[in-house]
Amino acid sequence: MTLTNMLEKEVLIIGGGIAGITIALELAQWGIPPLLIERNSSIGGLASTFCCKASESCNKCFACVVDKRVSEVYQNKKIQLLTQTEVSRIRRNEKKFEATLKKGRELYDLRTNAIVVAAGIDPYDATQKGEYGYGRYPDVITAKDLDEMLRYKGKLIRPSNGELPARIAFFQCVGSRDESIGNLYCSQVCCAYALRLIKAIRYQYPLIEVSFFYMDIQPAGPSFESFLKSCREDRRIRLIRSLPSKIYFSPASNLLKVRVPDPQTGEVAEETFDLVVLSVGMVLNKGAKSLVQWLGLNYTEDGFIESPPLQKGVFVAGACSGPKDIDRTILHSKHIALEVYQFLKGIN
Amino acid sequence: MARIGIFIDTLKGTLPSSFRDQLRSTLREIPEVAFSTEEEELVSSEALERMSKLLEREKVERVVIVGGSPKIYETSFQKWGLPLPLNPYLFTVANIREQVLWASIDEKEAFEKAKRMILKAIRIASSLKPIESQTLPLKPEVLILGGGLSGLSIALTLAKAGIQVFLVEKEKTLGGKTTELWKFYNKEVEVKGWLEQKISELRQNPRISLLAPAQLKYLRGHLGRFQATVLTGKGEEMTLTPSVIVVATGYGVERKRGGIYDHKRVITLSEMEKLLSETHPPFPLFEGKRVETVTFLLDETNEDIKFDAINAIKQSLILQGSLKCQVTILCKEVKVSSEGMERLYRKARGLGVLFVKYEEPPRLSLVNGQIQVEVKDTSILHKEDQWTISILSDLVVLSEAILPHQELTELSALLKLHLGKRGFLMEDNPQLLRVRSNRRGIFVAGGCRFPQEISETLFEADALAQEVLVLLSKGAYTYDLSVAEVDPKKCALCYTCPRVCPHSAITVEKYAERNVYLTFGIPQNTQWGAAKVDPASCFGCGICVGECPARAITLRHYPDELIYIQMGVDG
Repeated sequence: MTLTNMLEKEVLIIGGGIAGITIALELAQWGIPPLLIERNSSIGGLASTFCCKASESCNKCFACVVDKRVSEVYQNKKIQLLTQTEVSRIRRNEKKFEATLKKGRELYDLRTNAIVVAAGIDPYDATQKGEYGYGRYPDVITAKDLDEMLRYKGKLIRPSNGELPARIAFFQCVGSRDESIGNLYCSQVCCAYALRLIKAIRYQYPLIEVSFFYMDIQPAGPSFESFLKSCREDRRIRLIRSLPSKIYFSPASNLLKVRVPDPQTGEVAEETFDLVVLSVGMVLNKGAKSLVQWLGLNYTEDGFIESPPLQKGVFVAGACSGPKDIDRTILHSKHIALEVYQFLKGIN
Repeated sequence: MARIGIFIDTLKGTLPSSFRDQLRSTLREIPEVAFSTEEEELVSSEALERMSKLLEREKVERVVIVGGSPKIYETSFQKWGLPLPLNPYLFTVANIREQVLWASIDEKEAFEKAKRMILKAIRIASSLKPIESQTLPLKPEVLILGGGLSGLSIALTLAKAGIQVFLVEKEKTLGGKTTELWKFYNKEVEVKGWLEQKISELRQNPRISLLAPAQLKYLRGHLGRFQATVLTGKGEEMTLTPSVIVVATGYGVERKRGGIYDHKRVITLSEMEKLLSETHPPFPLFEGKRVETVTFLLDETNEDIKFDAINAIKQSLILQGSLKCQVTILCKEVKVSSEGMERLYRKARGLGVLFVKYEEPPRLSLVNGQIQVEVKDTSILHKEDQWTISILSDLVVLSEAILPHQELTELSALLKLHLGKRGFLMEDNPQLLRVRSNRRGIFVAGGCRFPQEISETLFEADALAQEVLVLLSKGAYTYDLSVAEVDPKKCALCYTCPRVCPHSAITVEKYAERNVYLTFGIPQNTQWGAAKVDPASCFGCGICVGECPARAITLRHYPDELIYIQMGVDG
């Protein structure tokens, strides 16, 4: 037996990641009570799985900001939150939208004036890059796996034997700037993200050696220059402009072998690593595809969601409109919150 | 003696019942305790309702909660509305779960510790004082400093929402650095027309008073009561009283000079932009002669600025694509972390634009009226084999160094805003979320904080407008008086606190009746100078309290005596 509830809200926000949360909080400040729905059982999205990446001082990863916003949503009476809820249908009815939401066995019939799509992104599926052996070799992990390991386990280990790794390699641009898989865009956040992870690891485990393989280091925000300088000065961090093409696994020694050029001499040599971290890029959240169809939205060239014209009442916020870090997602979401407000009040 | 009500949160039974029985029998012996009651889950809305009724009936004056972390209670109080028929600052929490149950193994020891903590909490509760809240009226008036792209779009957004805006621009013209651009990199529109439309919209808006050329000369006051003296171009002084100030004064640039860099064939990105806007196909002319080879030299100074790479690639596409030039771009990193840039970069490479990533700075020299650029080719791995490429170019295009505006230091002193390491306005406290500055009521955006590409600047401008509108929309700012307070009689006017206050909430004003440090010769009816905390601007951090040598400052919500009780050193 399913129960059907009727709901009438000014704004429906789809996605309880940092973008959805920020918009919900901003709208609540305007006195517009939004409905925030999230597929998972808790809000915070991808950003809430990130660990603090401070070394000697804060490295401005903005992970702590997310935790704070999440608790603010739980405290806010104006925001109605439905977790474990998915959209099963959306229809436009003249100026309003009619949506059916499904929460377990309960159904909600919703009428709303505006819809914000903040579906977020998925990390690129690294198993598609078969040459790196992700999913086959236990010690090849993604940067997100590493982040979760640091956040939930609180320590750094090699997944194969639980020991502390001594030599780590970071491979950048896995799933970004890659013609072979058709992702012709830069995911914009991974350089700074990986370097912050490296800094945090180096601070916690001063003996670990890290090699960072990249194409171009992409800047991220105002304090990045001095941060990058501190990375360059660290003698146990090697920044190497070269992307290895393949990872070999040696079962006898349980080590990962990579052919890399020596940054000093330029000689190509085989090196072994205990752990390889793949900096995976961003792709649009799989769940967002049906939303795009129902709401008549378009994709950008890069496969993210294009922002529709203002008068439509549909808004696209956060990284599902193109790669963004936490900081820029918050700024972008505030901008969308203002647009939603202007749309509802008829200001243009 | 204050009557105290005690609520024991069993935390769904995780506080053992034997423990609770012992506690309650101890509590019965304390005379201040009016009652003690147990709740299964104190944070639930039903429990809070029962709590509220009980407090009403028993007429207690203070509340002690025995249970978990204070955070969970504060959270639920905020969400469900405070259940207390008394001031929200009159409750205290003894965190038995985390500080006793999780920390001790021995049961007897644990009970003793819990008992000590609860007794302390009761003593703290009895010395708590109510903290009232205040309201500060905010009139919808905003002063914006800087008429560049940020300032313009913020002014327009605010004015459309019904706010009176004063826009102060130093120059006669509006638009700032954006006027130097010819085309957007990501759309087929000319910047000029787009910008002019914005400016004419702005000029026609009756809610925007444009003061250009004009400059801020002096600023006094705090949020809601700023007093800004503006010097207009005619030399007149105007006093404005905005509620909120937005700083968007932009950035400065500096071109590399000296030697070959002074040559006329070495130009900047913005000069190239101008040249392109004036160029008619089939090819560009420089001083009447055809330009065939152009070399861009990027990243010599700004490693973290993205838009010079964007502009260089945009220009190279035009030069190589439709103007039959051979373009080389020398850079340290190809900065493509902007929407669509990777595709443009590949398109440029497809058209034949050469990209050379250098490590050592390229050398420029003059050869037969052309500029020769020599750079080491780092695409070859062996260091010894890296030969020097030399490129003869008709034009060399430099990216300028992006610097804080030269007047920014002075302005930051005027506004009492913090400057970051590189001399831009501070923004980096993540919890203050970028556009807020260290002072309540002053916001920063645009190039004076961090120079960015146009679309990102516009997002930021909107985010700032959103913050300002939300603040002003209620017509008043309500805050708790949980702030620092100066006892003017004790103040020795040493000026320590105004210096250490990170939020510039302390000023020295003449309001004290008496000063203990002046023992004779006091004329009648004189008001003495003393430090004064503006409660609406104070964040209640307590730095001044710790620093004040005369102990004249206290935190209203955390006076010294509470700290002593907590430490157990009050005898």
